[in-house]
Amino acid sequence: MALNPAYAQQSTRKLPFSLGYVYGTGDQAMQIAGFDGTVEACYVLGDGEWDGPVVFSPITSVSTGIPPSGWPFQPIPPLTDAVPSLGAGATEATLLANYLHFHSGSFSPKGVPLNLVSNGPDQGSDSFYTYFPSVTPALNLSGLAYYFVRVLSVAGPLSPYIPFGDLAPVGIWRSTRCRMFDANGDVIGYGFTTNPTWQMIETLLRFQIKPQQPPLAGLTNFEKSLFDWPAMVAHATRNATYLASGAPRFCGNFMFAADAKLGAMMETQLRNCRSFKRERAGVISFVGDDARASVFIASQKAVVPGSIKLAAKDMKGVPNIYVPQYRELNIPAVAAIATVASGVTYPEGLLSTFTTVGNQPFFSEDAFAYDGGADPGDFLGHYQVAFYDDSSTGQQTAPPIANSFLAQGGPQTPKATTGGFVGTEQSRFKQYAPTCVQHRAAQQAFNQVAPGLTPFPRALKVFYDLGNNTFDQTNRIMQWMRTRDLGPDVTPYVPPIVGSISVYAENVDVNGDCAGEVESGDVITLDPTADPVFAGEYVVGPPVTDNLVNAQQGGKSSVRDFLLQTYQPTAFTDISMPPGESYQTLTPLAYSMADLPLANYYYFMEGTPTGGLATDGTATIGLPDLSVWWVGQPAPTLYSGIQVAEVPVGSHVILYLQLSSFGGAAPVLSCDSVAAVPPIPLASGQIVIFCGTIAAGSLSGTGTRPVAHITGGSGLAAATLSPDTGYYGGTALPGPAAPPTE
Amino acid sequence: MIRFPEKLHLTVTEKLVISQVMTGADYKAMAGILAVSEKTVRTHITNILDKTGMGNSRELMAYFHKIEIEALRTRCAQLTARIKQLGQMLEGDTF
Repeated sequence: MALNPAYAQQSTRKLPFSLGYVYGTGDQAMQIAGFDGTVEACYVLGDGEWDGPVVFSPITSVSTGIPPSGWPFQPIPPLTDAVPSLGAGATEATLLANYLHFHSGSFSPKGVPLNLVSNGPDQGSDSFYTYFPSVTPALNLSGLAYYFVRVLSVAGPLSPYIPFGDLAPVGIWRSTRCRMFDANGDVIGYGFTTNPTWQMIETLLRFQIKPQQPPLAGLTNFEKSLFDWPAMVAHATRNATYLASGAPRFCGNFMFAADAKLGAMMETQLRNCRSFKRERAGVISFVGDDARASVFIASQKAVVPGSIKLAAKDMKGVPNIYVPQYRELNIPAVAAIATVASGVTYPEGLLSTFTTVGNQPFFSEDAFAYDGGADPGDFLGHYQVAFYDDSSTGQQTAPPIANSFLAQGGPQTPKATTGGFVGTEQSRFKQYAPTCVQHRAAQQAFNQVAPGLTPFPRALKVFYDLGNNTFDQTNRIMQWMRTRDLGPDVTPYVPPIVGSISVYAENVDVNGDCAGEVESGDVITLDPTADPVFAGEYVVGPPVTDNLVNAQQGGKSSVRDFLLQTYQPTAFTDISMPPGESYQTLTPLAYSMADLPLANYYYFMEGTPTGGLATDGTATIGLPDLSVWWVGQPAPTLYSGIQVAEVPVGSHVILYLQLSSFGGAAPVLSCDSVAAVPPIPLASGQIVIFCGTIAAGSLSGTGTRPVAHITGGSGLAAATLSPDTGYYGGTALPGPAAPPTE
Repeated sequence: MIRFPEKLHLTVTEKLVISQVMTGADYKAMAGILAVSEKTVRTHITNILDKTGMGNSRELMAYFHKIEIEALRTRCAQLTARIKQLGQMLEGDTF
C-alpha cells in the first residue's frame, strides 16, 4: 500500500477542474481492507479548494460513534441506498473523526506539508493514516481536494456485507471556491458560487494569468489591469438576476476533464451564460449577449467602396435542431406533494409526515429531497424516510405505505407545507437530452423537387454539452442559439444575412460614434445609403481585423474589416418552453425499480398472472414464471410453486409483508388492504411486485386480512433466506420512457 | 507597474509575457510560470517584438523601462508644478 505517485504532491498530473455543483467519486489514491472487514480509502476529487459535500453516501446517522442501525447492510457502491445529508442526525465532528475526512484542497507552500493534526474539516486526516501500514507516508496534499472514507464492519470478518472491491462512494459536492471582485478589482469574497462571471474569472486566473498559484490573495495591480472590472460586476449582476421562473438567469455547474484546454472551457462557460468574451487592448470583459442598441451607423461614406459582401446564409449543412446534453440538477419528481405536516416527536426523534398526491414510491431509509412548493425554484431540504416503532403492535412501520410516510432530517418545520414534489437524491445528475429546440421553418427552407410537391424537410441535429444544468436554463440557451443562428422560426422563412464589410476607422456617424470604437459583439446599422438591399442591423462577429499598418506606414486611411450577421432581437428570451414530456411528468408508478434504493431487509417477487381470476376471486401466478429474488443477489434463486391468492378482481396490488424481526421464528404475513394500497391497474404482461420482510424458514401462512396472501412454495420453506445470500442491488422493471428526443 | 501603450494592441497573453520579461526570466522559466510551452513563449515574444519594433528581449526591456521613466518624469513634472502652485497659493494666502 503506497501512495499512487500520480497523486503525490509533486505530480504534474492535472486533475479535473470543477465549478458549481458536481457529482462524483474522485480518483482512488489508496484503499486498504482490514481483516475485521473494515475498509478505508482515499479519493482525490480535483483541483482545490472545494467547498464541501452536500450529500454523501453512505453515512446515515451517527450519534454514538458507531454506524447507525442497518448501515452495514447498505454498503456504498450502488448508491441506491441512502445518500443522506451530513446533517441528518449526525454531528459533523463525529462523522469527520470516524467515517469521513474531507480535505477542501487548501494550499501550503511547496515543501511545507500541511499539518496533519490540526482540527477542522480541511485537515485532521492523521486518524485515517493510522489505518494504513506504517510505511505509508502520512501526507496532506496541498491544493487538492480529497477525502478519506472508512466503512466499518459490525458483522465480523469476511462478512458478505463488506465490499472488498473498490468502494466507489458517490457524493454531491459543492466544488471549487471562486474569488469575487468589486468594480475596482479588489477581492470582496472567496467562496462557493454558481455565478458564471466569477467562475470564468477564476478559470482565467487559474489557467492563464496566475497558473499554479493558490487563490489566497487578491490580484496585483498589473493583474487587475487585465480586466474591465465594472463590466465584470455588471455581468455578474446580470447573471444573478432572478427570473420570473424563480431561478437565477444563469448558473454554471461543470466538471471539466483533466486535459481540457482553456479555450474549450471558456467556450462552454460563455455559451452556458449566453455571453461572449471581449478583449480590447489586453483588457478582458464578459458581455452578456442581450438586447442592445446599435452603436454605429455605417453610411455610404463609412463603407469602403466595393467591400460589402453580404448574402443570405447558406442553409445547407446548417444545424436546425438544437439538443442540449446535460446532467439534471433539479430533482426529478417521483411523487407530487399534497401536504407536509411539521415534525412530531417519535422515539426516533422529530419526524415530518409527507402526504403525496398519488402513491409514494419510497422504502424506509430512502434519502430524498423535497423541492418546489409554492415557489418552483425553491429547494426545501434533504430528508430520509424514517422507521418508527409502533408501540401498540410492537412492529415497525416498514416499509411506508400508500401515500404517506414519515421523514427525518431536513427542516422539520418545512418552509412550504403544500405543493412541490419529492425525488430520490441519486436521481439528480441523471443525464438528459430533453425535448430539443427545433427551427421548423429552416428545416423546410429547401426547394421542392418538382412543382407542386411538398418540400422535403432537412433536419440536422447539433448537440451542446451544458454540464450540470436544468431544463429551464438549457432550453433558454438553445432557443437563443437557434434564433441567433437561424433567425425567427416563422413562415415564410427569411434566412439571416451574413458576410463582411470594411469601414474607415476614422469615420464618425451622425450621432458622433466612431467606427474605430466598434467592438466584436456590438450591433451596427448598415445605412440604406450604403446598401439599399442589405440595410439593417447587424452583429459584429469576431474577429474584427484592424488594418492599421497602412496608416502607420503613411498609406491610406486605416480600415477595419467587420464580419456581420443579422441582429436578432427576439433571440434573448428569459422564458423557457413548457417542459412537455420531460422529467417532471414522470409518474411515481413509472419510476424505475432499479433506481429505487432497496434496503436490504426486503426481497421482491415478480410474476405474470396466468389468466383470469378464479370464481373465488383468486389469481394464480404462472410457474415457473414467479420468482422470489433476494435483493441484489447476482444469480437469483427461483422458488417455484408459489401461489398468490385472492387478488382483487380486475386489479393488482402491491403486497407488503412484514415481520417483527428478521429471522423470527413465527412467519407472519400481514398484508395491506386494498384501501391502504390502492390497486394499480396493469396491462397484460406487466409485472406484479411484492415487497416486504420475510422470516427465514417459511412463507406459508395466511394473511390476517383476507385481501391477498401467499401460500405454498415448494422448496421455499426449506430455503434459507438469510442476509448472507446477497446484500444490495435490485432487479429492473421497465423504467420510465426515455425523454423524447427528435 | 508596467505601462502598455494602447496603440500596441497587445493581448492579455502578450502582456503576461512582457511582465515576465521585465523580471528577467528566461524562456524556460516563463514557460513554467505561464503554463505554456517554451515554443509558445517564443511565438509571443516574436509577436511582441513585431508590435513594438524592437529587436530582442533586452531592447524590449529597455523599451518598457523607457516608457516607465517617461511616465515617471511626466508625473514628477506634474507634482512639481502642483507643489509650485500650492506654494504660490500659500504665499499669496489665497486659501
